[in-house]
Amino acid sequence: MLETKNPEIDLVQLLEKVGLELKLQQKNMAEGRNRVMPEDLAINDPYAWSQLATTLQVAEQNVNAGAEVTSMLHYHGLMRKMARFLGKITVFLGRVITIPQRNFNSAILHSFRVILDGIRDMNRNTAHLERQIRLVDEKLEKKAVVIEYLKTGLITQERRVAILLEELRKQVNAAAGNQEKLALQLTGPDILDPLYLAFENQFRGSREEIRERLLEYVPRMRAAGAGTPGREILDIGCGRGEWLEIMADEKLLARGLDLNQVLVQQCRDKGFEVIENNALSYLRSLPDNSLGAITAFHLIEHLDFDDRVALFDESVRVLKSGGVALFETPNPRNLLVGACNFWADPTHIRPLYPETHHFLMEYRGFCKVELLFLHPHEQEQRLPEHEAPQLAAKLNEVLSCARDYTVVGYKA
Amino acid sequence: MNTVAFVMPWFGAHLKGGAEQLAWQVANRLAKRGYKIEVLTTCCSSFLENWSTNHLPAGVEMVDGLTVRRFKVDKRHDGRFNHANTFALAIPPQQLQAGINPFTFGTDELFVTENINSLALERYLKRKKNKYHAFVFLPYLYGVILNGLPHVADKSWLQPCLHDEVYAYLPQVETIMRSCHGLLYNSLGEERLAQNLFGPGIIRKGEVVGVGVESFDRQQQDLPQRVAGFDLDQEKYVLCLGRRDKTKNTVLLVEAYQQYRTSHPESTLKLIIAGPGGEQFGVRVAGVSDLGLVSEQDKEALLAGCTALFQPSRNESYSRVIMEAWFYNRPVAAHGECLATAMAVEAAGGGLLATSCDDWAQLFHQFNTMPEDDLAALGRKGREYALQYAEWNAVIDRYETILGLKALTISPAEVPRTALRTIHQLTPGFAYGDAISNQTMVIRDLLKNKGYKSEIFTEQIDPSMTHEARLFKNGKGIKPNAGLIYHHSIGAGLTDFVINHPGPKGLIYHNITPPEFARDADPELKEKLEQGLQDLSRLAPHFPVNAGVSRFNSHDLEKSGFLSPSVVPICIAPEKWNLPAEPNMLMRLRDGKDNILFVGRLAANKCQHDLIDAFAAYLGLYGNCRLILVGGFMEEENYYKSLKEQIRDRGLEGDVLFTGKVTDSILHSCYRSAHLFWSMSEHEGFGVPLIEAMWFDIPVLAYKSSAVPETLGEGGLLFTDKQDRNQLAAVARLLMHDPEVRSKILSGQQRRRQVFLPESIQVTLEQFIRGMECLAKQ
Repeated sequence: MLETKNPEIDLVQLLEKVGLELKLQQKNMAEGRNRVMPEDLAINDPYAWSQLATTLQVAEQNVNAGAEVTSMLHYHGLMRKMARFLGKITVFLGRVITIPQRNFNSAILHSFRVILDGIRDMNRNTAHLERQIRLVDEKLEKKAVVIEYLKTGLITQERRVAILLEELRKQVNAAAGNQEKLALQLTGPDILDPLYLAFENQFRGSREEIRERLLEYVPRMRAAGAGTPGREILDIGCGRGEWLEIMADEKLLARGLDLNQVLVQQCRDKGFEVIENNALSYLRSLPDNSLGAITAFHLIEHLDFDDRVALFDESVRVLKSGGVALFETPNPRNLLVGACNFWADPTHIRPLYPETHHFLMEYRGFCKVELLFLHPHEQEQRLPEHEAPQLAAKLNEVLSCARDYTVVGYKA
Repeated sequence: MNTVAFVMPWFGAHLKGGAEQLAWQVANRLAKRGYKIEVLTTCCSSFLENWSTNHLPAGVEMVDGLTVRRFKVDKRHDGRFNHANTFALAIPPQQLQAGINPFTFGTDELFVTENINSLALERYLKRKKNKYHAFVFLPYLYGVILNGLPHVADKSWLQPCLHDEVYAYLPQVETIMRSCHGLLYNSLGEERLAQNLFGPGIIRKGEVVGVGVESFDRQQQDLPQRVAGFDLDQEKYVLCLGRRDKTKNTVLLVEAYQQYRTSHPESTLKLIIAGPGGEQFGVRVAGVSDLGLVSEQDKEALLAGCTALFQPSRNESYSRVIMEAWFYNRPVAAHGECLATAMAVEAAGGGLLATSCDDWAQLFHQFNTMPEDDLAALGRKGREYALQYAEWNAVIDRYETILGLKALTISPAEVPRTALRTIHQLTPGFAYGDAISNQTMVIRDLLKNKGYKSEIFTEQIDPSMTHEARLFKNGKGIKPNAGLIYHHSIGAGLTDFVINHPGPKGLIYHNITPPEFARDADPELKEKLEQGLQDLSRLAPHFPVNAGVSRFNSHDLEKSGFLSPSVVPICIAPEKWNLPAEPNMLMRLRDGKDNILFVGRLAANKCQHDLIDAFAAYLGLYGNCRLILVGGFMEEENYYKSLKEQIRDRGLEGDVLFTGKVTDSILHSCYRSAHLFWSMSEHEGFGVPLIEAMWFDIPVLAYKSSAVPETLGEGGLLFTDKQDRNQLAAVARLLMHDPEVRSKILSGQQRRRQVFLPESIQVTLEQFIRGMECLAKQ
């Protein structure tokens, strides 16, 4: 394919080199190390750029303004000579201005070109970086889920290992068979803790959303004088600790209580005081008149009727006079919640009818009991009311009303 | 009348600078051979003194048979000069680009006007130009030279003593390099540098004369044992001789020595520095002795006794001390980036090269541990080389020849009487940069030299060329008995006139593009081309004297019925490019991308569309590259539109540059910035740009078709298959980036381009004219 009459060139050797180069090409192509494809580069309006290039060309053609006399072709003979002579004189005298002007022109033109090239490069780079950032973001999101999952797993494993070590130590000490107890520990209910945590992360909503909703309760805490020394707040079922975090931010004294070991550990890692215990047994262990407030968000729907009544009883007992108890739970009056969303959590026992709840609280000794209906559906999720206003309003009342409600009661 | 003048800013036997000593020696030695030599210089005593002071009296003095005329220097503003000078020296060397003025914001003017100048000397040059046979100006960068040379340009030889430094990029330096009559170089390296800086336009007026070294004049003599307290027999030392300042890189050497001593604390190797200059180095560094300026005898003793001579300067056009060291059989080390010294050391094999500080430190170690025999062997090789190139008699012989001093006695050859008095030329079109037009001008000059009256007549003329040719109006100005050379290309209304011209006539055929190539693109052009071909057969019986510009074209002539056509190749001389390149275009193209160039009118037969395709493949594989298509076109032409569309479809906007028809200055910029000349053309009657690219040392890659292989000869690389784009891209890549392939191709091209020089084609042209003479005699 190649030919030359140059005696110095060995065509066989040259073709070998070409072959090597071709292989290198293929390798680079395979590794995707070839250049950025043109469509990636066409970021700016190409028309604008070509306009700019034309404009610059015009400037370029005129950069040497005043350097030469035109050929004066429209004159002839003597006239042309005269015209050229006069032109030359003008150009010569004009040099005072035209020389610095030409220097200036070249300098500006050059700077322009450098700047334009710079901008073009920057545009390319920016677009490239933006794409990279998007990719990285997506990857990070995926990674964050995995990390969360791994973290929970790790905590569980740590606990198990600790238990195993403890048991081993005991076994070594006692040298007697204690197999049964060990088996119990390893298969106990807490084995599902990480699962519930993962579930809650998926369904309960993000930390920020939860925090936002809970902020509404802060004034009630303050009004009841809770969170001060001697009138501490107990958050039963503190979960991921959103409420405890708000209390800490508001400089109110509070502690949490939860059964889920993984959640307890997470809260403790954040520096909150959390007790790992069953709500009733813990409350029973507390002396009378010892707390300023008891809060429980989305807890009571997990309890059966007896336990709920016991919870109210114990709460009344341990609260100081003027102390407040606050129980938030899904609102079954909202048809979507009552018929569907409520059942998303497999550990929920049954929806609680708000007025029953209100009645129970009063009946077990709380005063000034009130119902708060919270978190209605957003406007855009409501049925539009301009076509059939009455029907829509009716439907909205049952479909888009408050998703949660709270019963608040005070100790006399 | 046959006086030769040496023009330089300073002159004196005592001056130590390289150029100053050179001038002193050459002037004296030429004078001793009996030529009348004058030195035109200033009253300033030396480079180191204030340039506005007249230390010496103005007027004529005789020194050893030389007439020295001194002229008063002009007043100057030292501060302004220093401003310009500092500005220039602050520019990083890697930013310097040939053809682009680094002295921005008017500092170039400042540098020249506030330099050492002498209006009195300039006036003298202007007035007494005719008194002298030749002027030798040296060195290149002083006002006296820059402002003086233009007054006597046609009689001037410039001995630039060129260095690769910022001053070499001054536009005023380019002006004198281009306008002088001849250039004298001290070394091959300097010649190469000049060609790199100013392009092929100056190639043919330059000659390497070499510089003699006095050591070679005398027998080895008794040299002192001790110099400045050193016992030369006992000490082991490396020597650095020469002016000591930043530009000479002495600092680098001292640093390297320190580095060497730190890594080899046990070494006893010393570094001795000697020479003129203000800075002191020895005081601060252990093991380094700075002797300052030493006597000639001490210098020779130092050279004879050294382990090696180190020449770290990057700015040498010729290093005398290297030759001197070789005279004493001592090896040398030179800076690898200094063309002049590095080329000499490499060519001679008399030493080693180093570039970075680490390299230099390593060289100290290498020379310290090298056995004496090896050192002497290196030195001997150097001596052999130096005897060839640094022996004064040989050098002065070259001056005699080049300055035309010997030829003065020979009377010019007699012009033989001829039957013809006038030979005119007739060509359909005459335009700037056009190959046929250039050819006609070369032929006209040759005819005029031979004593003929000769003019160029044309049907159409480019307005900018009216001074070169006359418009043809029904044969007005062409007498019936005048000889006529008709250049035939496309169809023109001239056919009937030339057939009927009664005087002796010859035809030079410049090829007609086969009309089928123009079929789709331009029906009008197609008609013209067909007309041209038809005319050719009509012309055949009337032109017994005929020639094609290549064998390919002669073959066409034969087919049309011409008898025994000869070949008169197009003449391509690099002097055409003795003009500055257009700096804006240069800047635009020298942005780090590889520039692939093709020069030729946008036309289907030139296959720019194939080239764009192949380029797209190359760009996709390697990136960082641009295609420059130089050649005239009309916006409304179909072929141009289709190319534009092709570029848009392939997303190559911004990667392909159409320059349109350009001036020589812009074409010069394109050639100077190109890395590859790539032709896909399927029809070339000759292919002038192929040869032009060879003069610019651009590797040529061309499709084998029509006259291309004949024109390329042993130059460039041909391919026969256009389809395998990846393979073509690989070949293009090798031509641009494989140093071995590239250098072989270039050396082939350097041989090939000689074939089209005016001297080379003169013989065939003379034969052609003789043929016409025969007709006239009949």
